[in-house]
Amino acid sequence: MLDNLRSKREIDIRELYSFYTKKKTLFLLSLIPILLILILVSLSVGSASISLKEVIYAFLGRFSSDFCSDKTAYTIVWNLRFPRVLMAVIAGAALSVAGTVLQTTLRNPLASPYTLGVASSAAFGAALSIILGAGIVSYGQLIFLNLPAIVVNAFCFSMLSTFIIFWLSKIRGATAGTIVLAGIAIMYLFSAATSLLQYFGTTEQVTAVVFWMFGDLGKADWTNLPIVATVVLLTLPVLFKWCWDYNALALGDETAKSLGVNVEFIRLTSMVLASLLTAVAVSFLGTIGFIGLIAPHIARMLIGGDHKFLLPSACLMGSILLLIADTVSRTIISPLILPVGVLTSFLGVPLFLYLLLRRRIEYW
Amino acid sequence: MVRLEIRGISFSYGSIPALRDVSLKVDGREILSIVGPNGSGKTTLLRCINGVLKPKIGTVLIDEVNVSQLNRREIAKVMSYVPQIADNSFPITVFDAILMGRRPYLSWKPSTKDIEVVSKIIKLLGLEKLALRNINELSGGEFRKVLLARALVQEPKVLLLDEPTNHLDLKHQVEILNLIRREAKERNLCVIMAMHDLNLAVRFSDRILMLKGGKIFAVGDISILTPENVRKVYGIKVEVLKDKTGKPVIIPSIRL
Repeated sequence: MLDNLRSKREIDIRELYSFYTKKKTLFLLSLIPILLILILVSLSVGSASISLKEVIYAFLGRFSSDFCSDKTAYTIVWNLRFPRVLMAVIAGAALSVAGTVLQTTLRNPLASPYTLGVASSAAFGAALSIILGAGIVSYGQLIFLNLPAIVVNAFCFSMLSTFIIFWLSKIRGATAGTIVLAGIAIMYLFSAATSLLQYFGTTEQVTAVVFWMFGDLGKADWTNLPIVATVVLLTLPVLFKWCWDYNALALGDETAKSLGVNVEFIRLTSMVLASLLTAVAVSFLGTIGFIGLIAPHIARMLIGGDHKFLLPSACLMGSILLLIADTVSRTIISPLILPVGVLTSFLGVPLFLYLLLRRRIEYW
Repeated sequence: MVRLEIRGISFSYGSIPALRDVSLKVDGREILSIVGPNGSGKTTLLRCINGVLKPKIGTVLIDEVNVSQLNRREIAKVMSYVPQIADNSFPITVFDAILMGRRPYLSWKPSTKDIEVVSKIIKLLGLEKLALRNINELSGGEFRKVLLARALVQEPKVLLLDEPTNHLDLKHQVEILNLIRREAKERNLCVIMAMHDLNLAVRFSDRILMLKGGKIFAVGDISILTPENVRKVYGIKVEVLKDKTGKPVIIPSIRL
């Protein structure tokens, strides 16, 4: 009798856990159709409104001439909106996963993809090329930005700052505290250097730098999209593979070590990969703020801290939030397009605060 | 029966020596408490046994197997270590936290056995109601139990605990130590724990090891805690009385 009762109780916990796991799987899977619907909606709205049916026809028109939609819709969908929408999905995922991984490995709820100075060093790289001339091509009175030069420079400097932090932490021991402090120091250094450059730049140059720094998905096109996508698709599986190690970090460095996790290696490599994800997004698009801080927290509040579920849901949450923000930024005072970074904050903060206040218990 | 043997371990942090020629034998079902003042090398000794720190000289053998020849995963299958402080952490459920103890065994997905082992421990330690709560919402006592549960699902032969009663109230101290004692006897565990509270150490351990300046000062049953020995190791005067069962009660004198 007692044995019966006992075994029944054991099953209860197992059932409870499997129910909990199923619930999380379902939630995770439900994010995928939401994202797909948002992609369709986002392709159809804008200064020229295209119906959903036309969007689908224009989309399929690429693959089969049976769906002969009108030429304008086809051009708008394929050349203007599609790269932008895909970029929102990819960059949102990249920034959100980078934020999640950094929050976990640095054990810091305030960590974001920009905590380690990736954005400020990229901005410095961009400013350097703009102000010292390589980044600007002028034809008489007309001034163009030489984007490839700026992008390459921005990327190189953001990775440079990452490796400085990597090297410093390697010497001093890769604790969360060391990395955060080194990151903040580097961030201030590059911000100061950028200000200095701007001080000596002409008005046009300074404007160009400021313009570049604004996160803008309008910079997405069919040439830079594959580059960003490749980096993201190669990096994400590596980070996903470490989900057990990330979970083990929850119990503290020493426990994780005793369980066979190479804590320093995981922390440093995660930092470099997260910075790579951020750098590639920032270099092409500018600084899109807040998504990398807030999307991980929203995902964590909704699905919990188990990284098997957290990483994929943070990924989808980042895509969804950035896509919504970009769609709103294109439509809210159309035909004017607002910088998407502003919208991520305006839309993300209320949602974040709502979730934070709704919880009875302390969350982090 | 498991047998842990430590042969002549020495360790230093840079140029500061922390352990000097420590040798020790502990058998299964035995609970050994390491006592000694702060900085006497208790934690360092535990870390060296566990292989988180690599001792400069000396070896640690578990059933005649040299620990330094095992990889981390293999060590984790024979030995669990519960450190003194767990850093404040991001939210993860109690179940998932305990499941981490199965990490040395699992490849990608936890097996039914892993889930079963975790469920059993949760039941055993009475954590059912907390199973799906986040670890950062727990009280100190509950959190200790979770850490202990995680160590037990590793199914170790040797259990190393660094001040398992730290920051706990009287009731929880006794509760945790009783749990440790029960599990040690039932699972034939060899338990080594660093302890600050001499009176608790006396009541829950089979043997006491007194460390002073990284060296073994004395090792033996609870009778080694004489006023003389305690004064030499801790540098304070104490009075040792006897309780009803004849176990020593150590009372520090207020004046140093």
